[in-house]
Amino acid sequence: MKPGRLIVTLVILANLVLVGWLLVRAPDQPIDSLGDAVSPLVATSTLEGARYDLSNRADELNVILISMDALRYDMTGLGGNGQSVTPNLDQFATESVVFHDAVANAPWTLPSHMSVWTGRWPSVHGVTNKLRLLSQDQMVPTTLSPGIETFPDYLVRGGWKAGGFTGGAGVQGSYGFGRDFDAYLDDRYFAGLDYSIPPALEWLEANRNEQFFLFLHGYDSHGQYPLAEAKLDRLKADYTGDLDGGIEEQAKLREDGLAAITSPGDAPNLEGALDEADIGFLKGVYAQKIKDADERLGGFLAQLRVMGLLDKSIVVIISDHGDEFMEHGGLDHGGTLYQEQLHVVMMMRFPGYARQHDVQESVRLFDVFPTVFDVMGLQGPAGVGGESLLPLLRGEAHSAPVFSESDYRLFVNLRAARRGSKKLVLDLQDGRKELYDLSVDPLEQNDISSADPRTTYELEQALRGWMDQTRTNPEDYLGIQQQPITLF
Amino acid sequence: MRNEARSTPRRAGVRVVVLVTLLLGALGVLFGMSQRTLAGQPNIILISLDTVRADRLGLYGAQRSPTPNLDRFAEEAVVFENAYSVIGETMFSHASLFTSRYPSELSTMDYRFSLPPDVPNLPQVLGLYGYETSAVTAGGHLSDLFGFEQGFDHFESPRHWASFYDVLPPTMQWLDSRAGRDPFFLLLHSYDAHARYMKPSPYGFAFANPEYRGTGFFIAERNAGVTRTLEGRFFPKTGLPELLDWDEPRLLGPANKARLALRANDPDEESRRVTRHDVDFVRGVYDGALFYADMMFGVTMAELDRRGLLENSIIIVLSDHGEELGERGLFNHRFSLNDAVLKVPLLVRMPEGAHGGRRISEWVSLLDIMPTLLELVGAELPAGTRGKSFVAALEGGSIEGHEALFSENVFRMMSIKHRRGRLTFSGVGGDSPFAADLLASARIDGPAFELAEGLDESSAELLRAELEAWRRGLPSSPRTQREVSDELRSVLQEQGYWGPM
Repeated sequence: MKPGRLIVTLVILANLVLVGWLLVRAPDQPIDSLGDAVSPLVATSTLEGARYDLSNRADELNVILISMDALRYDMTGLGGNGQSVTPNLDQFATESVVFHDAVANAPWTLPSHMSVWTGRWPSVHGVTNKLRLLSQDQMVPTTLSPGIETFPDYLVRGGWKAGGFTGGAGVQGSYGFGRDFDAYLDDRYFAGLDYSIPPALEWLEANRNEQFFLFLHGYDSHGQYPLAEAKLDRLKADYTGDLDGGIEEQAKLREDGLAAITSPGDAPNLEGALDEADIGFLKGVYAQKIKDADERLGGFLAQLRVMGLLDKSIVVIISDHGDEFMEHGGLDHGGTLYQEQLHVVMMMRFPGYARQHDVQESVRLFDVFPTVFDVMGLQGPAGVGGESLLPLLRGEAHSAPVFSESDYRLFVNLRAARRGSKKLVLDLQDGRKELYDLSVDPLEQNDISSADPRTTYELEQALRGWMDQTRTNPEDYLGIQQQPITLF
Repeated sequence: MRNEARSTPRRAGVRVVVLVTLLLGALGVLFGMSQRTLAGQPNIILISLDTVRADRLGLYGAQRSPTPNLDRFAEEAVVFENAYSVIGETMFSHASLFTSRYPSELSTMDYRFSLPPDVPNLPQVLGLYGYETSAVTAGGHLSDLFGFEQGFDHFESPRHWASFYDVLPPTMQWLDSRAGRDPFFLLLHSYDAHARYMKPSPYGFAFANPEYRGTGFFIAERNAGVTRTLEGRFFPKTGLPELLDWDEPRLLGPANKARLALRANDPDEESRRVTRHDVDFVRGVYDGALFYADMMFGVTMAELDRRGLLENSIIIVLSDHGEELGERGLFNHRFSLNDAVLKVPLLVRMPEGAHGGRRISEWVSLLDIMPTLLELVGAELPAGTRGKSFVAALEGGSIEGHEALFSENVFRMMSIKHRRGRLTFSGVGGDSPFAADLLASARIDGPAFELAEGLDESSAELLRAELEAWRRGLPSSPRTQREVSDELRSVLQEQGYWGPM
């Protein structure tokens, strides 16, 4: 057969097969749903025997929760970043279940951690800001309602030793975090792991023969955590701009960015003030902070190994939110719901199942405790929004709605919904909607809400239906124009 | 031709085959993509017959049926024997039908009402799922004056307060001229059974005595307002427009209550005695109007059949509300929340008449239409909708109907219908003699303003609690509010809905 004729025959055959397939397949089956049908099969086949059942060790296993504040997922090596600044985290991932699409419930420390702690949506646990408005000029500190049970409450009540060693600020015990803990360190504002690890290790040494829950937290990557002078100077050597990379400057830039949200037009224009070199410098400072955090984490994990605790503990590493670098006109976090703030680190190391297991499905950060409790067969608080991801780990079907909220400093009221690669951001104050397709537009630069009204509608209705459930009345927010409250 | 084809060189033939298959493949891909959710989707034709009270139809057990066409249609349709509206007025009822929400959740409960743009409505959502949407309405309360055009690709009201006679030709014209191959959603609406009832011969007197002369004429030929009787007398002048000050923000605010009191105590108020013969005549003329509406419905079905649309369309026939026909001294449909006004016909004919003749006795609501249709086309249901889908009933299965049905009206009345009975709360103040009398004639006792039909005390207590809980779940202020335009005012005056200002 001549090569030409062969090609012609193949083309005809391919087309006939295609036409045949289009005719045969169920007419209402979306083409892209075939992917969903295939992926569980793949997941199951790579996971044979991985049952993640530790219920028989429920009375001896410890739980260690490590929170790396303000760590963006895409700054780690977890997503295949060639220039990873997190070798220790990446190494630990090879022994862990890694959730590659974990979404924070809120884009800043306090509500995000409280969602992890309680398994509830921010608007349900109600700790959405450090202060609560009693009247126009009266603010009181917020604290978790005593009526809301947290997952650590259950462990404490179950007789576990509980210790928290944190960088303070948004995770201060007064918000409801350290309830009935044997130890809770929160006396510094924005301290790093360098501050919280030593007392944590001391406490571990003292309690290693008890069943314990340890919460370790540090602000090492946070804008309000100062980078060591020597390291800062090294970064400045390659930079000719005016920025100093310090925390006061970071706070000022953050406020300028937020002002642009409240009073567009009058506010100092960050976009104009910062050029590419400036942003590169700030990101360089951020990367160096993350590198330091990772080093400290590595040291701590090594200690756990030396103490023999890795085989006796479930170790969970999360970040509570990311950080923005002018992707959407601002610096820092809290004021928007874009991926740079919501895409977080979430991994779990289960003794006996300590090998890398990648999960690509979207999950919510507050699924952490329900999953750990489920794996151990423990009873946690009822009626929570978080769900166990154990079915997902076992290759079974699992789907749960992915939403995020920000009522940051009482002046933005944003909600976001994810479904597959589509993401809707809804501004409750003016009803403005933005839709993004993260598969082709991961940086959320191209709003496709008018090009894809159906998905916009579906996600908005899912979001509004969920707000009904969480008793959020969207109309309470319409037309609100408040000045940001000053908290820092 | 055959010979020519044979003589064509083989290579060219191969090329043609290649081209054709390539084309087929490309078309297949395109078709497959565009029809992803549309393939096999039926058309949806919603026929809303204004003011048709269920129990006057043969298919719902009436002795001398004025509706032979609807009765025949019922044999090919799933018939809901207990379908209820949430309010007795055209515009509010349709607004609820299209949004699956209670009227007071949507907008101001008077003529400043407008369908809010931010609440997803049925045509809008169907449009998102590939439906071409068209409405030919009889205008008036179901027109673009109240925002009903929202979500429709094509919206037409040939004239205000129109008949099927006006609506049918443009409907068929639209059907014949549409080029698209998408499934369509079509809304058809007519006021044929709405007051004024009297229809041309032979329909007008088909069920009424043509020799009759009396008060019934006045009643049958009145429209709008509170056409009602008091203590066996009919007050021709006490229509709503004459009684109410429309500029007052609330329909029954202090000024309006004073007017009501004044009117009721006016010794010069002309009144006429109303006897059973008068009421019978009104009912007869109303049946005549149904007879006419039914004839036009028959014509519509024939026209749809002629276009081959019965095989691939879901046809829903319903009414937005019923009509009081002399029970408790009431006429018209605005001033009460009884079954006469709220119980409506609801028939759903599936493509090719599948499951035709099924009778569903569970309680359903017009609020259920939107969830049902959206489930049928695989569309996401909007948040905040109040109805529940009865798709299972259309597919041969069973459904669980509503335990309780709630309704409300512009007079701030609200009502619960429950297995134990109906309980109605009236917002009408007790300080007006007219209002008090009105409530008395409706068997509403004293200052409690509650009507408990055959309810014992504990049941009344339960229903009162449920009614209050329902009310608390509704927003305290309407979503949208707007000014009444001159155009709207004149359209309303034309039909007697607005007194001379």
